Amino acid sequence: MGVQSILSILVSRLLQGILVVFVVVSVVFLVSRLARNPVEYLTTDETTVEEKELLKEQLGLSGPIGIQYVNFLIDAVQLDLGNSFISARPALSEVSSRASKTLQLGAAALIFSLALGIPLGIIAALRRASPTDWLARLLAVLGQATPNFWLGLMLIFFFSVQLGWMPTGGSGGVKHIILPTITLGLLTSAVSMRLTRSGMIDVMNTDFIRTARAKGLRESTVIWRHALRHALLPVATILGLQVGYLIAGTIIVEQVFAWPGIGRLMLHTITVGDFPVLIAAILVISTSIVAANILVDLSYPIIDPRIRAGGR
Amino acid sequence: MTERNYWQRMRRSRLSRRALLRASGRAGVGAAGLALVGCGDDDDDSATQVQQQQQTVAQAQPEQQEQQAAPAQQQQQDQQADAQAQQVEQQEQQAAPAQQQQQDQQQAVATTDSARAGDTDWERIVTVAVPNAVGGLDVQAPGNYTLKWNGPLHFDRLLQYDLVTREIVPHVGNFEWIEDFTALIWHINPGHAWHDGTPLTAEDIKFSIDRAAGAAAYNESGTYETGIAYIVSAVNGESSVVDDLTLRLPVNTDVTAPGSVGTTLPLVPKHLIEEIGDEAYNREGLASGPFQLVNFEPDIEVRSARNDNYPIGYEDLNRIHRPWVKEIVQSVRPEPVARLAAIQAGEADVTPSLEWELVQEFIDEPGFEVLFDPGCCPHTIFPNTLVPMFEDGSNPYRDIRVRQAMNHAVDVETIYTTLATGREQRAYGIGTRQLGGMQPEQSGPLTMEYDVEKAMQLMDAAGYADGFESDFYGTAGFFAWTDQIALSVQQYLDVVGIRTNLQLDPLPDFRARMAQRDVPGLHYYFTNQSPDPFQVINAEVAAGGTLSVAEYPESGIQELVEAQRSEFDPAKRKQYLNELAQLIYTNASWLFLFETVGTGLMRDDLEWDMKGNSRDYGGLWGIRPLVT
Repeated sequence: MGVQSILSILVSRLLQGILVVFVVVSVVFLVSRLARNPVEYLTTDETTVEEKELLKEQLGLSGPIGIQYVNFLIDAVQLDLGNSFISARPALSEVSSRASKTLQLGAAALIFSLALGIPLGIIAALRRASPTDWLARLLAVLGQATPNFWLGLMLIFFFSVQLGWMPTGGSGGVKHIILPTITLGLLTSAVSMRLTRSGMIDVMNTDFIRTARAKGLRESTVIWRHALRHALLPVATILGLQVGYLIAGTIIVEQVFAWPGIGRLMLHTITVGDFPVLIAAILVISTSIVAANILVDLSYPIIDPRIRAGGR
Repeated sequence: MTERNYWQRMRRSRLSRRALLRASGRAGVGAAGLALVGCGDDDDDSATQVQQQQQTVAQAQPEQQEQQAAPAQQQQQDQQADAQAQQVEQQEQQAAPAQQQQQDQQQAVATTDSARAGDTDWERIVTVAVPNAVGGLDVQAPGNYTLKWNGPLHFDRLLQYDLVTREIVPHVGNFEWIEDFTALIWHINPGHAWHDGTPLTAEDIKFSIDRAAGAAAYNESGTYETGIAYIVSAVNGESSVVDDLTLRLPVNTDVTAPGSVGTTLPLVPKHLIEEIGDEAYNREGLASGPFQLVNFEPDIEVRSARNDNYPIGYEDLNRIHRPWVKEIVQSVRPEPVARLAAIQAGEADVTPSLEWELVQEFIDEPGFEVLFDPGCCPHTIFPNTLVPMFEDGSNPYRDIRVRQAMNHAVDVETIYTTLATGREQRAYGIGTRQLGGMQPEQSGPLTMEYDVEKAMQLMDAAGYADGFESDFYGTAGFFAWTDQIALSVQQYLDVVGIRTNLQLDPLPDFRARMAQRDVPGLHYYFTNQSPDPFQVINAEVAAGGTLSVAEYPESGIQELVEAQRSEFDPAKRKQYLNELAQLIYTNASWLFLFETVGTGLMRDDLEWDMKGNSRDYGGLWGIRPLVT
């Protein structure tokens, strides 16, 4: 696969991505405007109808929704998503101030899930049908079946209240990120573990692995250099989707651990109808997911030489 | 925090420093009296001193009789005494502020004198676990006004409510009616200053009022809308600054005008907002209140330090005063269970808002104290009587017998003893009993007790023996259990034939629907906890109120609403309010449920009598850390 092919894939994926982001943001814009009147949150029982109308006008919520949408698109292409109804700060800066926190948590959870899931998958595959395999699979099932809000609370009670080892929530030091990382990463680690295990079992029975062994290569070289590379392809594919899951999962995990990221911000903006910030958050999240999937697409040739050679 | 401790504190706290200065001046005790109450170094010690002070006050008692005998002379004496007292206070403040602060602190220890004991820990940093801390710092801005953490903790108002008597009392200022009740004169108490040291003046009051109304000079284009113009809706002309500490404010002849402007309008600094603009002020949030904002990280923490220069000392502990706590850190923990864990793990000292299910196991737990905050927000179901319910134009809720039947059909006590804390009380009339409306001795005989048979007879007499169908709207998540309470009420009503279709929505959506006032059916909302009922009356009782859906033109309610609005004699107004409360209840205007009891959890090395502040984090100024 030449550089030109990679470039054409990149351009094609980028165009698709832009379309996806546009559709997502438009749907969120229309649904949110139809579903919620933020003026009700911003006012009290005694606020008069006239005052509410004035406020509505000031917030750009009066007039036909079609015109509001066109105005929104004109501003959005200039990356002006308006100001937060609550804090009056630019919506994008509200989101960007939280994005780094979510990125930290997401990256930590991803690393945790891969660091736990891949080795466990390899061990389970190599010791197939042994108690180790059985235990690893049991852990994977538990990891997938446990709701993360429950797991988070249990971790808080055990590690923070009973043992006093970890803080109950908030952000600040390395200790603060450990429990949310485990909570968020456990499910994805279970998925990685299962995919790695099944991939490794398939690969270990293939001809080229037998050939590698016959050549007298050390078992570790066979596993890490030849088998794992092929077994990781489905893991890489699912990684793009897992980024979406991790971001969605932050809404719950950030709420439980008071982690000040985009997830909590979104939850709050949905509750109060802070549309500009909500749309900015959706824009950032959908762009991140699209970008992650493009990166995964581009990583195939690196992981699998067959794709680099001819795209078979 | 027992009843006994509370009343002990009350009794002693009445001996305010200023009152003693005034009293000794009036009684002719003069310099000796003044020395006794605060000028020397030997006044710090308390039990004996309190006795001496009580004697001094006793000497001042005949003042009232003298006042009746010779008003002019008395007035002159009063003025002299006031001037003398003020002069002494000013001298003290100028001469030795540190000494003054120390004396006030010592006095505070003496006056609180709790059986739980202990001295105040003046260096304590108290962490409060709160569900959220978002928004900006401009307390008048849309959205921020409705946030709890940013209210009276940092920002002052002209008037306040005494937490026990529930009467409107001076805070930053006081008012007097002039010109036949067509204008107010606001007098600002000296010594109040913004946290940057700039004195708070009448210009700031004028600016705060004008800004709320969207009429401040800097906002001539009218592009800035606070959304709280209703607070100053009684203002009908331009206010004028008489001098640094005096403002004349023309208002409608409405007895609630000073209460509305004074107790609900947060004051903002003219000098800063004019200099940096609205948007920048939303990031600065300069205030003048008992706590000074130190750090605000949205959704993480709000850190506030005691305003040691706050001019209101510890004379009256039932009113906003200089805090005991050195620093308050509001640490965000959105999940209730996580807030509880934060207290258990020692990361937080108090959380004012935690569901009963979570805190009840801590009732006898050493090291903790469960907070109960009664007297808030009566749960009330409003039947819409304004629009027809059926195609023939009828609306059963217009018939008093149907409304009485509803009230008899629901077993209120069972609902709150099984679903809530069991410490709740039935709701009557306009709002809580503390509003000066229906008192227990009046409400008892009038109570519409749970009586299904009677309810069915009333339905029969009203011509609805077969019942009818009705929509029933409620909120989810505003208070605990509202969804379960709504379900219970639905089933109770069903027994007497009122078959309801229940719909629960988030509060903003619910309120938007109710505010349309044209949606038939039952609307499960709340009456306000504000100590003066004018807010409830204006919004939910008065004809045309923003949430008035249950109106009864023939009942005489509106006449009483108008009568109390234009009654400037406090005793007569209280009588009108009492009659109004009774009439609203006997008219079965709403389905009356019960008063909310808020719950929270605190470590037992703190002392905090919430007195109705659980839903208002501004009440954190009342926390006293104890030396352990």
